[in-house]
Amino acid sequence: MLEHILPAILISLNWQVLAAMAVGTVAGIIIGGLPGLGTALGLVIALPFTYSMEPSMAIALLLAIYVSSIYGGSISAILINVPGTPQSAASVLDGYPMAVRGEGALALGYATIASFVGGIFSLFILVIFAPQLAKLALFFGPIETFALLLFALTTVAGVSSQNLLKGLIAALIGIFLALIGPDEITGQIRFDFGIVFLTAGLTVIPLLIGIFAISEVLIQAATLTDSAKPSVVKGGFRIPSWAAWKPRMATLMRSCVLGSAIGVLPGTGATAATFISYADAKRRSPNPEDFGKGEPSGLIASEASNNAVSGGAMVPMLALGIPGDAGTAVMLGGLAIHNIAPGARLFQEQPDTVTLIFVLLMVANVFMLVLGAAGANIYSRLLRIPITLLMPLVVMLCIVGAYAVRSNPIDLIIVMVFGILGFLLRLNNFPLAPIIIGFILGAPMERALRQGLILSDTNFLEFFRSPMACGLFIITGLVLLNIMGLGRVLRRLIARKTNSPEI
Amino acid sequence: MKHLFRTIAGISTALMLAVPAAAEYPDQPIKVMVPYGAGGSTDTSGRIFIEAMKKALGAELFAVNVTGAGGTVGAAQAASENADGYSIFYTPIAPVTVQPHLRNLSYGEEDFTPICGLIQNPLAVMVAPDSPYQTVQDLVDAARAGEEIVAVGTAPGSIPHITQAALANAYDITFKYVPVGGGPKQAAEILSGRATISTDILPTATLFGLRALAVISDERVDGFDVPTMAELGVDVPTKHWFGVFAPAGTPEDAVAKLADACEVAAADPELVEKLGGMNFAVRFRDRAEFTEFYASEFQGNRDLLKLIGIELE
Repeated sequence: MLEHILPAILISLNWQVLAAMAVGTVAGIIIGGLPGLGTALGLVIALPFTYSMEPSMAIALLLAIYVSSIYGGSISAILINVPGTPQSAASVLDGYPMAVRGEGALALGYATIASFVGGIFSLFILVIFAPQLAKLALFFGPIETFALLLFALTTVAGVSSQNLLKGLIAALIGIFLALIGPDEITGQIRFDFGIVFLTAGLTVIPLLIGIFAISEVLIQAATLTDSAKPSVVKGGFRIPSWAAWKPRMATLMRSCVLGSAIGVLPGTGATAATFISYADAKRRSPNPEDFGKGEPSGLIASEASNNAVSGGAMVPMLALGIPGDAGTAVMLGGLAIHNIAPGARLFQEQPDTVTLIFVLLMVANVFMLVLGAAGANIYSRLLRIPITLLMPLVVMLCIVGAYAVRSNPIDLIIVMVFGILGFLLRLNNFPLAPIIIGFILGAPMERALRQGLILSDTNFLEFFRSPMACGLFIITGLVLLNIMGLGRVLRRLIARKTNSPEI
Repeated sequence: MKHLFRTIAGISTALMLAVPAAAEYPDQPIKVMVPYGAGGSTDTSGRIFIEAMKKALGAELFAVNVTGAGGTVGAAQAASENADGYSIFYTPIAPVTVQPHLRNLSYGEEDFTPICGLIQNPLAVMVAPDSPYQTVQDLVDAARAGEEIVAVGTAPGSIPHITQAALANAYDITFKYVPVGGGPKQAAEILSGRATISTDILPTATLFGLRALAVISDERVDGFDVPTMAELGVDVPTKHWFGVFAPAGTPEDAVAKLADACEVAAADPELVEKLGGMNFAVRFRDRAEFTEFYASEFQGNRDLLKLIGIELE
């Protein structure tokens, strides 16, 4: 591979390739930042433009959009409390409180650098371990997927610090919403109440937009006192000091590892990775009570892990030709148009192409860092728009974004209904993130459980015969015990025992 | 309110009709409903078709993806569009000829006017490259000997699902069917050894390195040294095709024009090349042939579903 690096670098330094990279990065950041348009949709929009391009340009454009759209979602999450993509839903938890405190520039700094580190880390994993990890991904079947998703569900506790009961209720609402529509195993339609448009079920983007964006607009409207008041949030870009990074390096690295690993595994996804990393960071933090109130570690965990998924998800796509999520599936189609057929043979027969993809992915991450930092001042200016104008604009973009997903008119109603629901839940101090966690995990978890039950002849005990699943079940159990406070009780008991002889 | 809209619509239609016959069909863009999401095989092949139709018809066409519930949401919407020739429907087989038998839907056979058939892909019985089974007979023998054969494919009522059931039925054996999803998911299950066979379209084998044991098509397929199921003496009647429909009641001159344009589009070298790049085979059926084909497929799939023991609506 080494002998291919120099030619690959030369190709990627071609001005046309760099131009495609720059356009893709800017487009990706905007696509990610706008609520509604996500990574997969952004790639689909770009695909027709790549037909007539040189393969190197086309790959550069697609990779740039892929990488930067994941990052772009964090900008709106931090600045206006609206996650631009589902992958940045966990970034609102601490990003927005930081911005409200006047540390928007710092929050963007943390998010941008964490995203960059996450992207680069996962790229190294991809370069070094792709063929080996891809085989591992294959052996992660429905049973193992179910065990991992079950574990991911414990993150609900991590994001509902004030009131676990309310968090659980919110998660159950999310899981219930995921049940609407066709049962994927039997094809039976559930909870459609006779409405044709509901037979297709709900999708995450209208739900996300309603619950976060519309409810935010309603909150702003309800708390608006002086329409001339300048917005509280200050933007810009500030690189956090090394002193601020140092205690958070462990969080950053763990989130990179978690994101890359979850990215490699099929069927779990970037959103789950962010919540798992967030919950992990909170569990290990010396000051977990600060999470949700603007603790940079929470933002770092979310942003490092969602960008780390980008490299991880490329592993099965490049090494096996089997995409793990919607974004890499579209990318696979884009590569096929240029006669690049990912799979084991790609690594043996076209090592130059593989190297080029790696180098371009590296460049895409650098572009994301540079253009993200440079652009921060520009999009922060958005916030100088008076709130009475900005919020209607947000509503309009949200509604267009929700409809664009699948042209289903029910999504317009869903946005509004869940906007009001989100507003009411917020007023009653319900955490909103568990609804999204429940919704995103609910459907794949049910699917994996039932596929697993078919494979095991409806004998759940068979699930424990998979060592990976068994390990995950045990971890889940331990985390649950810890959440219920048994860890503290045990520690106190042990402390009392060791102390007693002295008394 | 509705009444008011209708009055306005009526008046404006009357005004439009009053304009001399200068406005010949088509004089405005034609909407093409696509019942699956952007980036998938229906969407990609549909957009290739649209490009060719633009040239053939000399008019503007655009795709609208209405997705969900196995393509039935898009089909329901396509059936309820204005039958004025400015809305057509590009669909694979299942939403129009399988789903209506499985559930109570707002549309049925009579709600679509067939325009043309465009693509037909051979189906295949596929296994992992290192699978011990070399022929379909090996597979059948193993199943009869009590081995568990796990088949994977898309949702119940989809072509891979009814194909594996028809295959098992023909040999009087059963497979354990797990609906895992599209080609990539099926490949992952088979390559990891959790599943044994897939009965989806043949390009799945090409794309993901599976090995075909037999093809389900009228003739052998170039590049695959395997027999057809018919050669093996077994009739598996499922087919996988894409076709174009208009809502029932679309004016005759519009349907005729669309059907003619479709014939030109299907012969477009660019379309043939691009579909070939997706491993899709063009199989044009003109309006008369496709009308007959659609009716026989609709009834045939109903009979097949009954035969393999699926409860019908």
